[in-house]
Amino acid sequence: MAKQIPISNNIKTLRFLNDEMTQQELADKLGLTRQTIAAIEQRKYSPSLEAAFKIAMIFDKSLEEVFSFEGAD
Amino acid sequence: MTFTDLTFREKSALIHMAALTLLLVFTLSIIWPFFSGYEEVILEVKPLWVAVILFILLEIIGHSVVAAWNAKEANAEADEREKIVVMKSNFYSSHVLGFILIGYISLSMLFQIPFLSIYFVFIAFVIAELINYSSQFILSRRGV
Repeated sequence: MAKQIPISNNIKTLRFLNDEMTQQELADKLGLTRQTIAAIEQRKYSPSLEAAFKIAMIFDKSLEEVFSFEGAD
Repeated sequence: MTFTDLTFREKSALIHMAALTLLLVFTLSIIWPFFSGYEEVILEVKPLWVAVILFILLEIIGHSVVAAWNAKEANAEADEREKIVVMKSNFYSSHVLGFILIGYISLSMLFQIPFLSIYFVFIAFVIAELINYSSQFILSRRGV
């Protein structure tokens, strides 16, 4: 069974609202791989603080609007 | 999940696992007579290099095919998640390697075995590498 991290996010929604940005496009902007974006969206990977801030900046949102802590799983 | 759904690094880990399994099976088949009671067989030098050459060939051919198929991914540098996957896998395999080798040395001293079998040490390295690449594959699929 896939492990889920306690941090949820709404990157998928934000991508959709930003001209239906693809995972690959977001990955290219961040210097990450598409698989890493998919893993973050599926809560399989907790991004570094730097990557989290960059994601928030790309969508012009605060960190709290993109990520939220849901406690230990 | 099919082979084509996997990323380049996952395919690469599977190739490593296949090649290492082949190497492990070959080495175990060489030393098997030792466990069957024919101790003198182990004293003869067996052609382990055949397995090593097969291993290298399988690695080169396998990776060349997969890299040609996923050229863009193969040329890309590892990102932060992939680096963590490799670090965690190395951590697990180094512990296994240390545990097996220290255990073997302890048993050798306890039972006063006068030599360190090259086959046993070789198998320990192969198992550790097998665990390394299995962990890489599992962590990539399951999440870090």
